[in-house]
Amino acid sequence: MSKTRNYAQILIGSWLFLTAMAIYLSLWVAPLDFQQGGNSRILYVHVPVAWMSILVYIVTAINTFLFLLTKHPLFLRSSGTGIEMGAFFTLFTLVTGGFWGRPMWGTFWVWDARLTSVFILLFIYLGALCFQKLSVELASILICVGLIDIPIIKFSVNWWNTLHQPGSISRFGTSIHVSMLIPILSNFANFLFLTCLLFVIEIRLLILSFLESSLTEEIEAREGSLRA
Amino acid sequence: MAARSSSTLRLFSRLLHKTHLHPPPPTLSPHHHPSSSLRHPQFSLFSLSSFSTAASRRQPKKVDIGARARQLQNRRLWTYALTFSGVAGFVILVLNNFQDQLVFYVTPSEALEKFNSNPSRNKFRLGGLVLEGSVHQPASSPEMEFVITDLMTDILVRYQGSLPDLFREGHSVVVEGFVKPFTDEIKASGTSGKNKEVTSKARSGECFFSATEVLAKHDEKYMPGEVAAAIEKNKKKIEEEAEAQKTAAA
Repeated sequence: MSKTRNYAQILIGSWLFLTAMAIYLSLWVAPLDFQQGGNSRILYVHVPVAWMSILVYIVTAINTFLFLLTKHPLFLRSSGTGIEMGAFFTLFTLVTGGFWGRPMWGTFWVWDARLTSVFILLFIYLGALCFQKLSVELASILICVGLIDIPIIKFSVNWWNTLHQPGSISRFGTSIHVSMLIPILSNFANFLFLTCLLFVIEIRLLILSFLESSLTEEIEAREGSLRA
Repeated sequence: MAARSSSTLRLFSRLLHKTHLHPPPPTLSPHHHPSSSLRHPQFSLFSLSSFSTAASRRQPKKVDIGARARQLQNRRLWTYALTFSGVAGFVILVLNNFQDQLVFYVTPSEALEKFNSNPSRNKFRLGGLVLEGSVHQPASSPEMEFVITDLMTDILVRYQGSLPDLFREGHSVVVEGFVKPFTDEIKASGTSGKNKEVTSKARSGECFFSATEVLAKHDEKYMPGEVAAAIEKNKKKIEEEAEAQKTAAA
């Protein structure tokens, strides 16, 4: 047990360090944007959170697909965790984007392709959250079908003309200056680390519950009665 | 309804199960074989073999659980793969068909083309660059004026209200509003020297744009891909036309 506590201390300590570094980098080190001024600091949270919402969705979709195939409870639990965290990340993306858009574009919300597809992603997450209480299979199928939304979100800014700016980071290089890219990446590392930590905690709880479940007791009782 | 029927089914199966596994004890020894219930046809409800005259005792078939699980897994894999590819195909078809509705804004050239072919539909969202030196506040009205261009067509925009932070000359904006025919007053409201020169092309047209909303499009270190592509295309077109004229003159 003491070993576990040591690991937990190390992990939480490094997470706190990452958070402090990310906040310091994005609030004090990063230069002001030459057009947006201080508003560009919202993007240091908005962009990583948007990436996380997509990444968590892909991981969750893989988990739910494996759950549908194998019906293993570990996949179910990790997909449930993914749905909760992804819903949070997507909501956060929309809110921070709105607060950035109000002074910059002049509006909180427009129905352009990028914003609408992210809105649909939020509704897929929320729908899966609701369906989980009815039937986990239904929620899993919804998540798998909703995977189509991911390429639409990614390429919406290239396929159609949108108010949202096209992606700045591509295979051919970035149009973001390095000094502003570093806080984005450090925030991304921070969110990624936090998400992995929560995943590990959730799955660990589930594995621990296997050891204490009534099923184990039942099996043991049955084996005992057979032996007796 | 489905839930109810499934619960009744479950109840039924449990009843069957009970009659199968726990036949009344008096006639049975405690260490009986499960297939011994065949000898008591009144308790085995479905096995038809109990009615057959051939008295061969069937051996219970050995089920390979692993193979059965793999078979089920395969069947699920195929079902889900087919369903998902069907849904994906449907979505792609829908997106392809509604390509026009998904566009957030049109360029001034497209808007004027559409307006000329159907003047009753005059509501548009225009995207383009604000022409440099065109922003101007006429003394006669509270509205401000500027010119939006995609390098092919210029259109004069009149707007009353606050502008977003990123609204700058030479940068791209999206304006929402109505295409209206020029009145003489608006046509004449252009003023002094340079502004008049810059906006003369827009004023020479037949229509202006009465905006209800102005949104700035963000492009700090790069042109937005779509506008850049459209402008590039138009630039090429202009160059080609110029060359064609040159060759025609020569």
